[in-house]
Amino acid sequence: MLGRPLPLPWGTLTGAALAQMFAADHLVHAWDVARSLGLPTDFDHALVARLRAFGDDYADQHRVPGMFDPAVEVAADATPMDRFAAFIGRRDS
Amino acid sequence: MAIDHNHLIADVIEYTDPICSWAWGTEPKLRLLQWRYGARVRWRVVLGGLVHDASRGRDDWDPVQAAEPMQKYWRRSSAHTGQPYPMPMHRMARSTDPAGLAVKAAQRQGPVVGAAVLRRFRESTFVFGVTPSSPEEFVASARGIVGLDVDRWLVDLTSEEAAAAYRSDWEETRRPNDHVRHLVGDDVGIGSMKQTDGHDRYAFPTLVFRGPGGEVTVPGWMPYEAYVDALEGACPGVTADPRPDPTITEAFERWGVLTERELTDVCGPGPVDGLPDATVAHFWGAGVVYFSPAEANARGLPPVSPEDARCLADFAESLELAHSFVAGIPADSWRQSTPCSEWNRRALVNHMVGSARMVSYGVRGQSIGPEFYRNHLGDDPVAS
Repeated sequence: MLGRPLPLPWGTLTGAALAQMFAADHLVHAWDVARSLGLPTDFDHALVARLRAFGDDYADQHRVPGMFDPAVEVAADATPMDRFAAFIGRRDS
Repeated sequence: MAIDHNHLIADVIEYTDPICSWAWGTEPKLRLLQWRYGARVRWRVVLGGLVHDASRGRDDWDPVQAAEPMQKYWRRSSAHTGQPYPMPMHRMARSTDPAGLAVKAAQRQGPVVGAAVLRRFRESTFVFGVTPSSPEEFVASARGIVGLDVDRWLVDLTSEEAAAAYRSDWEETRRPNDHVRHLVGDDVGIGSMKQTDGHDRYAFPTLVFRGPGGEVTVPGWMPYEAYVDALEGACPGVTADPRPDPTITEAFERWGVLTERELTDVCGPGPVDGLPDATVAHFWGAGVVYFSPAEANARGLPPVSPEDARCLADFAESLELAHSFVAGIPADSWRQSTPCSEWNRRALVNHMVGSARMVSYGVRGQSIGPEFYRNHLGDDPVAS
């Protein structure tokens, strides 16, 4: 099942790739919500590292307004998740 | 003079129950202990009987309604043990006695077969969400065990010999030693003496080690080192020069099925790579369990690769994380902005719920189209 190609609104993906894509998506949006609530964002480092492997490439291929802005600077003490968010153009405001 | 420790033998008595989450949680430690010192111990498994009748005194007891609180409890113990818990879980067994008796009946075919059936019952309960209670469920969860004569097992299940053996284990479990009688404390998983149905008994799991050094008890949820110390205390010298830890390949040859925690505890920490070819991964709801091809085949599991199963586990973890924050959004602030420049909180969560629904379709091999963009949130966005 997980390997079967699925037609989706923006292309064809396998179930596993879809899960991975939305894993990264949820992780980033979890960060969005956490930041907007002023809560800590030191998410599980291993999870962040695995999903960055997917998310960095994806963001680089979709750096257009409305999707991903250019990468922004991070503070020296930023968590791995903060760095991921900054790489895909999220600003702390 | 060097001690030939391979000639030292300690006795280990394990008081347990197939449907005990702490016993399941202790499996990684006991596997490591058995790997390192197994040749130097005689191991006896005592089926202690955790719950005789969950419905006693409750006229409204219902196996479906009982599942939710049980799953919540098991989820909490999983947070300590790192072992899977049933997700989803639809029904709770009324009694753990039938499963205990079935293991006892399987032990009549030898300790190896007995141990294999016990392990399968634990996996059925905590990995696949089926608490085995009937002969049909026993047979289904034991499918493919090498050396198990199923016909003989089913006959033994109803035999007086198996019933007497289970009764004997049950009674032995209800003669707890002074060590656990005098234990006090309120630590999580503490193995102080329990009382059920008016009887004192050992907590599960409790291991008693006996040898020339005397008797040492390891009750309840304890660190791995406690087992090694107890073994050494019961049989001085026996823990010197343990067998070198297994490679991942050796671990699968020995056990066939390993949880993530078991792989880490037995083979050492680090990212799980170097899995044997054709290893099948099963996503149990919040993580992954690994099966050798033969074990996966015996259970009829689809051939999902570890990489694909990891994608699902990461999705589940991210979803859980997102949900934990969404649940904290004050009810009157859903229109506030977020760092995601396009969307306020409500729009953002709407998008997340939509994508979660898409993944749940997608992993079943179905697709959804425009459905993705609709409003997924009703009056209760958190519940969505």
